[in-house]
Amino acid sequence: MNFTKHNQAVLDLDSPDSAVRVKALRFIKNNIIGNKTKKDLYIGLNVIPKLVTFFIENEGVDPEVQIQAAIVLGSFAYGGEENVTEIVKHEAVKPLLECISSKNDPRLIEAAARALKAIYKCPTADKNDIFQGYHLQNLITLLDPDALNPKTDREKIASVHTAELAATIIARCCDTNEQQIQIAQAGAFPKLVNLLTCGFSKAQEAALDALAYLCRENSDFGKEIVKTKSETNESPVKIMLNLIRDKSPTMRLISAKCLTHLCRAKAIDEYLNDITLAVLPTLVKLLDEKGPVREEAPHVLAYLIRDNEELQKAACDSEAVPKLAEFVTHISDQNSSYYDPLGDGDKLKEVYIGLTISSLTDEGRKLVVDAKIIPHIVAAMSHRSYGVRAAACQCTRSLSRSVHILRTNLVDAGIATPLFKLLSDESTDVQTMACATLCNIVLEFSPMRKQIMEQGGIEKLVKLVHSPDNTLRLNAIWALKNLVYHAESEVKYRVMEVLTYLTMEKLIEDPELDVQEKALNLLRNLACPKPEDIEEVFKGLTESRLMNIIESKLCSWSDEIIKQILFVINNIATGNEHHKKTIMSRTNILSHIKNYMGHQNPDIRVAAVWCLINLTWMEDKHSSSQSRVRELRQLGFEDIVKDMANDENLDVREKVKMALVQFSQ
Amino acid sequence: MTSTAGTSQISKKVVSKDEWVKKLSDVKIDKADLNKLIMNYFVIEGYKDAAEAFSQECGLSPSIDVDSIQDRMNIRNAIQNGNVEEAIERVNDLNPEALVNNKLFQQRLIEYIREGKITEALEFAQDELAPRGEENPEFLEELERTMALLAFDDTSVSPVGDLLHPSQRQRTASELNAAILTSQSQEKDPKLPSLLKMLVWAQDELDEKVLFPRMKNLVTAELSDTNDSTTNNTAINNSFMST
Repeated sequence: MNFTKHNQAVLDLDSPDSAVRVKALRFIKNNIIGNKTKKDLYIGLNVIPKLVTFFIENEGVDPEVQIQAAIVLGSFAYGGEENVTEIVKHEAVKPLLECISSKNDPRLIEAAARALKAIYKCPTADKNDIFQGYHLQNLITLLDPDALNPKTDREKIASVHTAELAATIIARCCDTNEQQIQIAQAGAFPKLVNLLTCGFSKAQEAALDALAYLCRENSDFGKEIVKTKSETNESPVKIMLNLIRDKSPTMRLISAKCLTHLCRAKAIDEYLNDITLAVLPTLVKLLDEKGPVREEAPHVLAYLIRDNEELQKAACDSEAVPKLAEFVTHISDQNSSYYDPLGDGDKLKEVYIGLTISSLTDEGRKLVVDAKIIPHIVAAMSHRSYGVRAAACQCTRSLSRSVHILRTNLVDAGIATPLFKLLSDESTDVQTMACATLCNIVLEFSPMRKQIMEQGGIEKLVKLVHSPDNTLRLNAIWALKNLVYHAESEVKYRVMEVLTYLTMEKLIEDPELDVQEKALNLLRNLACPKPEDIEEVFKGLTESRLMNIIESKLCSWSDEIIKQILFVINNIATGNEHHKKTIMSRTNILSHIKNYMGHQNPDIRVAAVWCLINLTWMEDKHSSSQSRVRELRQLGFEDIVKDMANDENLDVREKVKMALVQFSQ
Repeated sequence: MTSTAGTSQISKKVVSKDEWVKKLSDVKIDKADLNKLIMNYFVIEGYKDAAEAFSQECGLSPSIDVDSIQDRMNIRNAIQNGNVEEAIERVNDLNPEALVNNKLFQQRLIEYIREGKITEALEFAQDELAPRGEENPEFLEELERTMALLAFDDTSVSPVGDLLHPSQRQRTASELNAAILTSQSQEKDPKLPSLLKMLVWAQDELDEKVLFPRMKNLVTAELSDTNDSTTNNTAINNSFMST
């Protein structure tokens, strides 16, 4: 490469003659557009700080110099994340934001907006500057193509393009609710709705995209957008339902996305028919498209149907699953070819998310199995992109909710080994998801439980139980408690040998309530069903520590914790004489049980009455059980149960009946 | 389709040339619509002078002012004259986004090869094209095809010799023109060529059932004789109105 002419161009940027500077800038621009190597070369020659000075020098800078400098900065920014980091590091963002004031030369505004769009496209770029001073207001002014008073058609095209850039920047700057609010308050809605009717497809698409992000998970803004009429007095939803039939697939996709976001924000409940009959089928058809449209369509589809069983069924009916499956197969084939384009990971991730959601219904799971993609899911567990690995786990988890699929297809596909490997993944997200998936795989009816244990699953999960990550810790203890659920005493023994009772006690006092609850659930699962199992817990914890745990947790304010600890008591009460006696000797515990029989939560009332049933249970007319009945009667339990005979909850009434039988014997 | 071509000869209805011409003349077509169709072609394809001349002749103003056509016409002319560097600069001035101008870099390589500047061609491929191909796999394929030109001393026998044909410049120019129009959210396909394609298709369809005087030459609109229907391929290509 000829370095001297590039070095000369950089030197010329310091020339006092602005014509020389413009010439050098144009030379650099024509070299770097589309050429990553040359961008790196010029960044290496430290050109960015020089460009920035053109914007902060005082009066008298040739506007042409600034325009060309903004284009060059924009071109650098299109070169990717490292370049954006360089631009941000040299504080180019603020000067570019100063350029978008409508009092400036429209060509400068356009060039600066283009650079800002490329900068904000980078997910790591800081969005704060735009919310300082008048910048946001200036940006929103640009959404109106007439704001720059275009006279010729050439100027009109440029001002529509500037409006498109402004809308795109807005779409990329509403990551948080706070940002959504500021953009809405600055008056973006009416301008964006008007832009929907401008007749220039690129600007319409950008406006749809911005509206979609402004109402994402925001019901108030969704409703506000729906109410905003265009200058032509059209309803935005009607406009979108029109654009969803556009001949351009991109336009169809973004319209569907915007309507999806409005639907999820509960802003268009009255259009539910259109969602089922227009939006959903459009998204399914878009799965047949090519390029970026096909990549994003599964994402939007997944989001649309996520919490709606009706729509999930409709998606399954409309061939969505085989189309997603074909996508998976197609991309897997591509990966084996010599050219492995980057970015496939993201596409695949979305598809697996789509399949996961489709697998939330029995019908959907069957379709996924029929499409024969489980081997691809197994392969995806070793994909280089962590998003794909996590999504493949999630998909497996959805499928494993069917006991039949768990026992047959997932076993046949050999899911246990790759899944187990992911417990040691470098990404915490993947580990977390692998743990969550494992929760189903280690249940008693799963043939893979033994395999996981043989591969060192207990040791691995115990390691994760010490993770500083709250969700990972939670999922690991969750998997362990599932592992000992209805397990043979041997399994319980092995788990506790590795985990230790000391660690379980620590988890019972974990700062995270969910972790506490699962740890108590583990204790509950350990202490059943045989007296020997209970004895093992008494030995492991010691009687006094076990009772301390029970007494302290009975005072919890959390319904979930109370429920779990009542079930622990319950299980102990099914044990031998000694176990029952231990409970009976604690007046504190008994008085809590009595109180919880009047708790407002019926689940807690049921659990409390269960305790009573187990404590009074007579297996062989043993005298001790009769003495316990007497004792509990004296403490007023019988009267309370009698009062509960008319409880509003059926389940409670059933248990009350059982308890009364115990007292009458 | 109920009958095959072989047997349909017997049952085909015959329309004589006189009858056909009379029927055609009965169809009323608004002259203004035809003018719009032609103006649409000039504007979209970027023929500014033709659009201006046509505008004066028929009193129809272009749908968009001629300034914006000028930009595209300059680019088209530069490409057709082999001045690819000029075209690149002009495209960058108009729309500095890389995807639009990748085609031009391929064309520049073709021009180097045409001029026999092999060293320059290789250097250019390495400095300019390799980085672009890296970011853009589809472009890589085109690039590989172009590099194949270097493999043959005699380009007339090269399987990729078409790249050196003048029509390649025209193809690049048209693709650029369409890309720029798309980036400006403007219609990129003129209506006239698709209308003519529709005419060819309709004649083929009708040919299955009826013997009629086909319009065989779309430039002269000359009708064949009814009984002369042995070949039914009507010549049509995108360059039928090229300058």
